[in-house]
Amino acid sequence: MDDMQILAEFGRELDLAPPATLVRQRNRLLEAVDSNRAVRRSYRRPLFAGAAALLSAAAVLAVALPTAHHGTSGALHVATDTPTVSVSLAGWSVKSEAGGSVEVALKELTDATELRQALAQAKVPARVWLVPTKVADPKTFAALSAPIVGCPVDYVQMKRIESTTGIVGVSFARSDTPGVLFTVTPSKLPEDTVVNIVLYTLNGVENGYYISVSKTSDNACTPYQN
Amino acid sequence: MPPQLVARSSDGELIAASREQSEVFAELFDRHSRAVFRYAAQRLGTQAAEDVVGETFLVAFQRRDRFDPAFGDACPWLLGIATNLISRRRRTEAAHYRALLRTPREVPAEETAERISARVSAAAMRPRLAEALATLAARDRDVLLLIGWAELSYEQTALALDIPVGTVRSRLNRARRKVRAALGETNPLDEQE
Repeated sequence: MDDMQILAEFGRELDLAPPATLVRQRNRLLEAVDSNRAVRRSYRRPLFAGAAALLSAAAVLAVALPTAHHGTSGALHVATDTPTVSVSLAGWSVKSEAGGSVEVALKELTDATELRQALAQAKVPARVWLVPTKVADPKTFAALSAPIVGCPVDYVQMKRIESTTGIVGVSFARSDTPGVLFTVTPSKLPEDTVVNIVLYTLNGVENGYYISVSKTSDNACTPYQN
Repeated sequence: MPPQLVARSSDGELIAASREQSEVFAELFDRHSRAVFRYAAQRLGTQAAEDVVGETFLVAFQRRDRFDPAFGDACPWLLGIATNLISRRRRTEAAHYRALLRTPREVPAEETAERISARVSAAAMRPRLAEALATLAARDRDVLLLIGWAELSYEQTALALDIPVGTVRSRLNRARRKVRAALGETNPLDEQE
């Protein structure tokens, strides 16, 4: 028995199961999380509101995105010389920014085909899937989404490409409901990769999203066409 | 991120997702708080360990942007944070080890012969080992206990403490030399054989 074995044995003597009171520390963390979320919400709301106002006020040359189905309230507004794109629909908006980045705001589950086309115009390789079935139980989400989008494998099995700062080439500006606002920088996307956007409804109430960057060859299923 | 995805995500994915959905970070607590507690309790005792666990996850949450998902398992990173917090309680730690010298140990009801042998051997060494741990340089003790108690590899220890693997080896060697010297370079059971 060498010194490390003696040390390990001593450690086992001191090993204690966590007490039930450890839950207090979990609550402490949750309080910090809530507080952080509240700070972020108050800080970012003006940003999102500003962006939304900008988008809706953006003027607008009607450019033909191929389908005319724009949901109930969406007006199709597109400005521009590619790759400068500014599209604002009821459910989402896509806007080119200085420096080649593209701001994407997602609010509702509508017009996936147009969203993908707008992103393509903005030079963002993207796959967009809607999961129109209202998922009652989150556990059924993956099971439902796979056949709906025609993917042979579970979406969540895709290998995501991330860095220390999150998803490579994608930065989020807001995550509070309703909707999400994020920026894609195509030049930062690794070669042969694609942005995957999945929008779904949870419990028939909450709009959810799942965004990742993966190799284009990963899970190369046919995007859902709504 | 739906609950199912949370449950199936790697630590790196969870931490990345928590930048947008901060509540997801609680899953990390559920996964690793026990390991952090056990390690902290070994070094400080249960009461201080609870505080260290709470502070560890608060610090981790605040610094989550610094976690590299390429590391995969977040446990070494969390243990590194815990180690830094423990180092601020050196007096508590030293007092904890010395208190152990006066505390009788509970004997498990059932043990194998091999375990009994190991336990008896360790028990005989306990006073000298506790004293040695109390007097080791903090940075050497951190390496020794992350490897000896938290069972991290050299590489994980390097990640936890943000030091090169070579430094882990040299600190471990130094700590072990001192421990062996404190133990008298011998094992009472070996001497009997």
